[in-house]
Amino acid sequence: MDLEIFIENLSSLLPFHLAIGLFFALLALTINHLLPYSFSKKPKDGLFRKIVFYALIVVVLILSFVGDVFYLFDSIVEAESLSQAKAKHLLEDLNDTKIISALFSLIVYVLSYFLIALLLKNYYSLFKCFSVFKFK
Amino acid sequence: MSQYFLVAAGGTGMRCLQSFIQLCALGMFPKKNITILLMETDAENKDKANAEQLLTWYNYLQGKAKAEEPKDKTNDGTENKAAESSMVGDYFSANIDLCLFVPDYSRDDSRSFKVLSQVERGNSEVNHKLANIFYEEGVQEFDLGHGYRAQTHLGSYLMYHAIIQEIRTAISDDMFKGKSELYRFISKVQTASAGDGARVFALGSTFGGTGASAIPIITRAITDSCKILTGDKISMEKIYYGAVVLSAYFKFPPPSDNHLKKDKVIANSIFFEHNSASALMYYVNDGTIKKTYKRMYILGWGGKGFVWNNTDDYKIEFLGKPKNATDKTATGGKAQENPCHVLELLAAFSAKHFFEEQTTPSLALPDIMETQFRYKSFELDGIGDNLMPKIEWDDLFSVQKPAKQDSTDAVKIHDQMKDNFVGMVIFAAIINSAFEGKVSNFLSCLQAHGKTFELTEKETESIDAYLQYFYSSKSQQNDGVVPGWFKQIYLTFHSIKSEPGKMFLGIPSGVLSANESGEKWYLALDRNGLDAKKAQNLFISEFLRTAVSGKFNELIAGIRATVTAIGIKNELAETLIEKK
Repeated sequence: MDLEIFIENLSSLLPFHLAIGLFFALLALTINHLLPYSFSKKPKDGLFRKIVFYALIVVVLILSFVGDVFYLFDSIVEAESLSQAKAKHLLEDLNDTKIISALFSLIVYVLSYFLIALLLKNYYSLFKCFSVFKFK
Repeated sequence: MSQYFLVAAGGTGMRCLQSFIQLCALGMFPKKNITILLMETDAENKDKANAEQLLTWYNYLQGKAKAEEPKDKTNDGTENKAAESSMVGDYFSANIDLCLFVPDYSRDDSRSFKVLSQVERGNSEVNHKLANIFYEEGVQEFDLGHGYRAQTHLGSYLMYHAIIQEIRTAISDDMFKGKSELYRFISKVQTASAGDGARVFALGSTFGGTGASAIPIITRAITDSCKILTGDKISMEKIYYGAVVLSAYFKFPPPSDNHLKKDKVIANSIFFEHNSASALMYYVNDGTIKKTYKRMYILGWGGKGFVWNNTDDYKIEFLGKPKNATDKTATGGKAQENPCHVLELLAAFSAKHFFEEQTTPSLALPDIMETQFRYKSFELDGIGDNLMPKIEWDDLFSVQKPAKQDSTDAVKIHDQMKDNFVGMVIFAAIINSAFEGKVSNFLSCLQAHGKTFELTEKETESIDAYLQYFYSSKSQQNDGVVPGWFKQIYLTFHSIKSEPGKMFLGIPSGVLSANESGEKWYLALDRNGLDAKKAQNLFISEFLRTAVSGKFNELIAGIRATVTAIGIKNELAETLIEKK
C-alpha cells in the first residue's frame, strides 16, 4: 500500500473510528442498562453509570489514538521507498490527523450513546442510560 | 346528594374511627366531605388520642389538595351521578372535619353520677331512693373520668344529658357556642337536613361503656339538639341514621379482687357476650331504634375458628407490658390501647356501604320505615382445628346490583381497592426497610434517579409518622417493633402469635408478620423469580416510567401507579391457608 495514496484518502480510516465509537457506545449503553437501580439514600448506581460513560470516553480516545498509530506505523513501514524527509513530513501530517480522528471517534461515541439513550427514554421509558446527562 | 356525618363513640368506636380514617387515607371516600363527631367520656383514652393523632397527620397530608365540593345538581337540575360514581379514588382524597365532644367528668361537681345528679340536694332521702331504683350504689359512685365502665343504663342517660346540656349552653352563650365542636357538628347536620339530607352513621360497640351507651340515644340526641337549634322548626325526615354495632370480639384478664374492692365497678370481658346479647335483643325489639335507624350493621366474631384475642397478649408481646402485671385491669386512660381488629375494618366499610349511593340510594332512604338489619357471614377454611375465617376483598365491600351507568366501577372496584391497599402496604414496607423509616431518604433516592418531589416539612413528618402507624414502628420499650394498623389487623385475624406462612387478603405473611421489617415487600407483587435487588430495580424502573415529578399527591399517586403497573398477586382465599 502506498502511503501517499492513503494520506490523500483519509476517509479510509473513518470506518475504523466509526466502529470504535459505535462499539463503545453500545457497550456503555448495555452496561448502564444492566446496572440495576437500588434503594439507597445516596444510590451509587447513578454514579457508576456516569463512571462507565466517561471511562469509556477515555478508552475510545486511547483506542482511536493507538489504532491510528499502529495503522500509520504499518503504512510507513510498508512504504519503504519513501525518502526520510518525505516520511518525516508525512508523520507530522499524520500526528495532526490522529487528533482529528480521535475526535471523530469521540463524537461518534457520544452522539450514538445520546441518540440511543434518548430513544430508549422517549419511546420505551427506559431512563437509566440517559441519566448520565445532567439535563432531562 | 346527602352530606355525610360519622359519630364514633367509646374505645371500640375510636378504633373503628381509626379504620375509617385509614379508609379515607386509602382513597375509599374520594372527594367526599365527611364531618366526624368523636364522642368519648375518657379524655385521656389512648385509642382516642391515636385517632386524633391519625387525623392530624391526615389533614397535613391532604394539605392544599382539598377535596372538591360535591356538586349536588347538574345545570339541568338532575342528580350528578358522575360525582357519586367513583367509589375508590386517590389517597387522602376525603375532606374530613373533626368535631370533638368529651363530657367533662373531671370536675368535682361532675365526677360521679351521685354528684352530677345532685341527689344530696333537696330531699336527699327521696332522691337516693329514686336513684337506687335505677342504679346500684357502686354505679352511682364510680369515677366517670374513665368512662361508663360497661354500665350502659347509666351511660345512655348521662350521654344524652351531656349532649343536650352542651347545646343549650351554646345557644345561650355566644362565646361557648364558638368553642363548642358539638354545636358545630349539630348545626352542620341541621343545615344538611334542610338541604338534600344528612346521612349520620354511628360506630360503637354493644358490650362496652360509652359506645354501647351512645348508640341507642344518639339519634334522639342529635334530633333533639337540632330541634333546640331551630326552635322545633325542622324536618326530621331528611336525617338518615345508620349504625354499626360490634358484638364482643376480644377479651382481657378479669380485674383482681384488690382492684375490684377499690374501684367497685370495672368492666369485665367475661360479661361482654352477655352484654352484647342483651343489647342486640334491645336493638331488634325497641320501637325507637327501629323507627330512627334506617339501617343497622350487626358485626360479631364468635364460634369455631373465630378466635377472641386477649388484648394483654398483644400488650405483653409488643408494648412491653410485664407478664405478671395483670393485677390491675385498665379502666381507661393512657393504658387503654387495644390492638385493631379486622372487625373494626369491616365496621368502617359498613359506613362506606351506608354512605355510597350505589349501595344505599338516596331515593330509597325515605321509604325505609323500619330498621334494616344487615350482616355478613364468612366461610371457614382449613382442616380439623386449624380453622379460620376466609375474607376476600368483596367481603369488605361489594356492590351487588350496580346501576347501569356505574357498572364499570362496580367491576373494577375490588381491583382498585386492592391496588390502593397493597400500594400503601408496599410503600410503607419499602420506607421502613430500606430508607430507615424516612420518606425524605426515599425522595433523595428518586432525585438521584431524576424524579423530584417537593414535600413540605409537615408533609414529610406526617407521612413518616403515618406510614409507621400504618405498617410498623420501633418500640420505645424494647428493641422490637410495634405492629402498625394493618399488621395489627393481620395479627388479630391470625391470633396475636401468628403462625408463619399465612396470608391476609392475598398479601403474604412475609410482608405482614410482626417480626418482618418489610424487606420482603416484593412478595406481594405478581412477579416470579424476584429477589430484593431485582425488585428494587423493577420498582424504580416502573416508578420513573409511571410517576410525574411534583408534590405529595403526585408522589403517592406514583406509588400506586407503580404497584398497579407491576401487578399485585391475586391469590384466592382458598389457597391462603396451608392444607395439611
